[in-house]
Amino acid sequence: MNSNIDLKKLERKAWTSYFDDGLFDLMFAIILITSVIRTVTDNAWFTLMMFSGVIIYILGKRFITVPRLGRVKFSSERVERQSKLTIILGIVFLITIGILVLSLQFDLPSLLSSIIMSIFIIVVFGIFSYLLEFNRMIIYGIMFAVSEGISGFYGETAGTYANLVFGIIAFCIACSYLIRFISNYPLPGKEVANAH
Amino acid sequence: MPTKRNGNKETKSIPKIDKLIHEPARLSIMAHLYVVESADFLFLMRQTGLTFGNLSSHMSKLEKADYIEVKKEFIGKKPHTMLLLTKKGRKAFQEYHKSMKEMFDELPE
Repeated sequence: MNSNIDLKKLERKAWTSYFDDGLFDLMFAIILITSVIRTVTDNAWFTLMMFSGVIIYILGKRFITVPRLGRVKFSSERVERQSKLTIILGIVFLITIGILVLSLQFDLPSLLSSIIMSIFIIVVFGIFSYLLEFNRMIIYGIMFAVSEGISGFYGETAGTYANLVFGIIAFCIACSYLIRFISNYPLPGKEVANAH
Repeated sequence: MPTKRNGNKETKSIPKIDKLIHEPARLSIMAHLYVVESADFLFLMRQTGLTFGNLSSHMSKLEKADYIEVKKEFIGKKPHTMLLLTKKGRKAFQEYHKSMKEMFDELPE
């Protein structure tokens, strides 16, 4: 009914439709899987390969998402939220370095540093998930934290296996979202391109 | 059954309803443009579920009423058309939203 327009819901739907492409899930999956390959092969090149996830994300947004979904500039409120996210990202980076330095300097037991890291990961992913209104992100945070915890409890090999399992799960989720996105949003006809 | 007094109250807000916005497709376009700063034609097509022809015809009516504005900008070297609500359109939508809310609030349970 006309009187029942929920404007907040409408804006949220428009915003979250950009996450329906599964590209974030794909980026996460690639980072996890390449980190596993890096550990198994002990080849430093795979550390660089982890960034391919970010590159695929950026290219995918440009060549898959935008041509199918169109362009939008969100409200200043939404932009403000993103600025907060950038600040948090900076703080997270500093805290991560701090934790690494502390664990090396004070020779913290791996179990304790794993627990600290796991809690930290969940908090960070939780904040991101809230600010981006992207609910699946908290699931990935839990996956990261669990694999970090497994690493601390059962050793690095077990942690690597956990990463592989979570990477495959994320990859399957990414594929299902991406396939659905492509079939739901086919490339528009020429008349729409001409409207631009 | 609403009383005669209630009946008068119900109809009080009706004359204020902007008929141009009240049409469902145009209402959807206006609402989507209201919650963002600007959007392109494809984005509106996807969000509203309207076909190209349908959206075009409603857009022209809204543009004629000076409710929406077409803005040309460059993305890289390519020109791109973005659509946004004018001040008049934004105000009209706010008033429409308020009137509809008032009208439904006045209805008896």
